[in-house]
Amino acid sequence: MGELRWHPLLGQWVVVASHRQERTYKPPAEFCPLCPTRDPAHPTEIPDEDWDIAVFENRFPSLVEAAPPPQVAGTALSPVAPAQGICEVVVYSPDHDRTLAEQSVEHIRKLVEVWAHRYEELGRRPFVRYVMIFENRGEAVGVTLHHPHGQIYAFPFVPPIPQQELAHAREHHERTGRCLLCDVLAEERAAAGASAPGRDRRSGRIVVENDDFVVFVPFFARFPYETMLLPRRHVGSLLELGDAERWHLSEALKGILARYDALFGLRMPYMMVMHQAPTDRPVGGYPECHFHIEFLPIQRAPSKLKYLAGSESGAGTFITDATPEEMARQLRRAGERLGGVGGVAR
Amino acid sequence: MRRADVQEAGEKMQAPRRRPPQSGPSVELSVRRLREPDGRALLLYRVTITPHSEAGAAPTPDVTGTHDVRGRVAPATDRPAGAGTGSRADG
Repeated sequence: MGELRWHPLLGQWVVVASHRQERTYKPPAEFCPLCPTRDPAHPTEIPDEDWDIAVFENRFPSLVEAAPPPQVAGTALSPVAPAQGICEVVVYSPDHDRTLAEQSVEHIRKLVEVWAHRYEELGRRPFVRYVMIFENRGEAVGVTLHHPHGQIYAFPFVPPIPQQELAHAREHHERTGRCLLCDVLAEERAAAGASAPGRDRRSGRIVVENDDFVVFVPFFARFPYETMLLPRRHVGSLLELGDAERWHLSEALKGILARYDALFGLRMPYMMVMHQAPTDRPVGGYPECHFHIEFLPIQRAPSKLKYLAGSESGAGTFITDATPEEMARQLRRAGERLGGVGGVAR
Repeated sequence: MRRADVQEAGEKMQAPRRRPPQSGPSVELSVRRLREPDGRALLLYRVTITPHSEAGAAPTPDVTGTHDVRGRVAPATDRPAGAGTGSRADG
């Protein structure tokens, strides 16, 4: 096992997990470790098919609950700490080929329930401060197992990006008395003409919406076809969503994921990252936090990938090759070919 | 972020707040809690969706059962050729 090493310039932890070099790498489908065991001579991670969604602790985790002491001594500038946490794999279904975008709304609804359960259960652990639910999809993103699955990291700290988001949301809340993302959503709706009858409602950046959720390409999108899925109601996590909202979340998820695949006629490689309130306070302890899901695709054209190169990786400044408005228009047009699955931009 | 962030936090997450009442189909979650041979947790979820008219008959979820399946997964060295490090996975 490795350890956490402090990066004194960036003020953030780096997880050293050298054992992950040995992790399973693109096994053939007949030896898929995420499929249910069908031949007892070739057992997998999962013993049978009597389940909808399976979750297990990662065999090659970056963080573990019983973390050993660091293998190296820290320095005055770079202390070290045990890499304590939990890393889970979420197998979306027994079906080896059906991606999340290809699941039914009903099955996605089941996954939402499991996500909420994992967030709550992991968040209750004393050493966990932040639960991140995410999916890396596609070999281009670095996926090493093809069976559709997501992951959950339970961190012992609030990672830099959520921390930065919360800091800005808190500052906005203190200055205006309002939620930052509620205001972002209001701007998006205004741009779409929702509050200005007679304007062209199709000129904005909203791609999918229903009674409870809106998916849009942010005005400030960094990745190609990046979208943000946002509940209309101000909630901090999945736990605060009612049943109807969870159904609408499932529909909106299906809606945006189907559009991604329809856009170029391929399974869009993306990172899906859920942003919920840190779990080191009681529910509602982060009033500035507005639950949302970010979709970060890396396919900028049918045969071209977006790389996080010098400016993005070295300076933290993203450069995009198309306007968010044009990206949204293309995603809406892809949705028209699907018959408006998951909701349409109103 | 502070280095102290890795220290144990105080009061932890409790019950959800202001979750609206349920009106649609009933959604019931149950989970079988297993263990891999090396002690890792394995959770097998069943989520039952019952139309609203039948919601009263929805089964009671089992969220507490624990079953040990030690010995079920063969060591990585027993894996068939070509299966990488075996059928254990990290996602």
